[in-house]
Amino acid sequence: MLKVNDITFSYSRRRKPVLENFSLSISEGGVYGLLGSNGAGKSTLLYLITGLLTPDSGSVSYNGLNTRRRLPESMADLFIVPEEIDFPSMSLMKYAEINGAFYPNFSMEQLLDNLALFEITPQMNIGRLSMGQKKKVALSFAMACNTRLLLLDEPTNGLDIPGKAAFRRFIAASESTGRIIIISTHQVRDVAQILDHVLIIDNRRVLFDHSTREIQSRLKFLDTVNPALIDRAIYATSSPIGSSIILPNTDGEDTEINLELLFNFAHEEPETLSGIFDKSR
Amino acid sequence: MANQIFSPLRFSAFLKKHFYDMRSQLAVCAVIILLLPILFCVGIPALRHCYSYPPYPHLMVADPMWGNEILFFMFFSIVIAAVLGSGFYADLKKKTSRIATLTNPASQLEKFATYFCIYILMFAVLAIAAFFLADAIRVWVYSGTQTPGLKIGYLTPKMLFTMGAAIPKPDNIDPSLADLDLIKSVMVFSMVILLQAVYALGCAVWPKNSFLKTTAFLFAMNMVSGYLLFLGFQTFLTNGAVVPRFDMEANEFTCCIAVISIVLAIVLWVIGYMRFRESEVVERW
Repeated sequence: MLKVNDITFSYSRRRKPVLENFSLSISEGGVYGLLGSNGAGKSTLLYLITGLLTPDSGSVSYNGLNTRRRLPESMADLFIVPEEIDFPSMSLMKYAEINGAFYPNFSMEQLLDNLALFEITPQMNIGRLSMGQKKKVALSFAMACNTRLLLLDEPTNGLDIPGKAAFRRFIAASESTGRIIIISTHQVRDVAQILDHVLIIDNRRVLFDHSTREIQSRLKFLDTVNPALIDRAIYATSSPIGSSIILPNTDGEDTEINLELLFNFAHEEPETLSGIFDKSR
Repeated sequence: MANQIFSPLRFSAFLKKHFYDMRSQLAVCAVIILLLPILFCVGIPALRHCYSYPPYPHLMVADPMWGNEILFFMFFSIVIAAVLGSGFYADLKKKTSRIATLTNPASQLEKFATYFCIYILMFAVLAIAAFFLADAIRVWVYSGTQTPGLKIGYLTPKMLFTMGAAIPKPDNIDPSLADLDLIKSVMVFSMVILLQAVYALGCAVWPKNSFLKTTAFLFAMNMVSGYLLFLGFQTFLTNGAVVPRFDMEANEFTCCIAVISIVLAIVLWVIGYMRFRESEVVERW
């Protein structure tokens, strides 16, 4: 159970807070997409959750423990894969042997399976890998630690096309484990299909916080050239094949969520969007 | 709930991890610590022709290099203490290693204990061992080459840690003076320990370029405190003002300095640990 209780945080007293009276509660397992513009506070939120930053007010607790205390019990059950990764110069197997010892549920077998998925050789010297390869190793190791909370900051940055597909398979496979996976990303197309929940933050607060099931039940996302549909849309932007539109879902037909469109809608017309979801309740 | 403050298993796991992660840098440090004393102990006699001196009486009972070696060891300790102190929290230097260190499930105390064991205890033992090894190599290299009658021999730990008081002299020396030199050596080593604590705290405050910044800070503090002392003397000790008597014996004064240094070192280590515990992914000043 992750609880972010009314936190306010700024990097300096002279600057505006990055997050203000920000609250969030996650109790169910699932894949949570954390979206926001540059500087919205996505990485900051992940650092606050892992205890890497101290909120100016409020607190973050995971399983009842304040994460800022960085107690071994908390840290052994959460893992963050940051945007930038560096490894010491050693073989991957040695790294796994040394670092896996800190995580009670670490599985070497699972690590090897993950590496095979990413086409990474276990005997590689991880200190000499490219950025994309390091990302693959970090993701493989993170998943193999089997922590109940996993935080990924821009996980698909630097991954090649097969790597992104492998990443999606990865995450999809963890759906039944009850894990909480929070993915902070700009690359919405890479993660759209695997999210269970969408969190959009902006202007120091949560702008949108709903499950993908809820979104699909209330909204329809279409690419169309039909003027009648475009007229009925609650939000529309032009696309290479006409217009990308959002319509209220009145007939119960599920469509694939266009995360980019949803993000822009939330950003440009937050009251309209929140009105739709409040009305539907 | 398992022990959240200190677990021997987690401590040994983190010790192993840090050793492996930093093995290249630690190896370089170890090689330098091993080589420098050898270069000194073997090089200086050749440069200064120490073993070609005439057989003066004092050189027939005391190796001419012993005094030089003791002086070298003192400066060597100071430099090594400062350099290793300023690398104490090297894990916090880069953002990537900072994140990895702070999110590692070992407790902060276990991490601190790891750094202390490696950068303070291990290297202290290595430095002392390296010094005696270098001394042994010197004796092995130069034995038989000295002026007949000139003393060549191993420096003993007693001679080193009494700052030379235990070095034999041709005239009988008052035994009570040996105590004074032992206390002086305790004072010197306590100040080395204090200096190392200052540099370690500097590393907690400024992980990047720690050595330079801490040295600059110490220099500035010395200048400021020297100036304030000067102002104080000028203000209070002019126009016939009486200088307060300082009745302490040299022995007692030396003891006081040693005790104050040790206590201050402990306080600085505690502050450094607390600073490390409060570390964040970015420094917010």
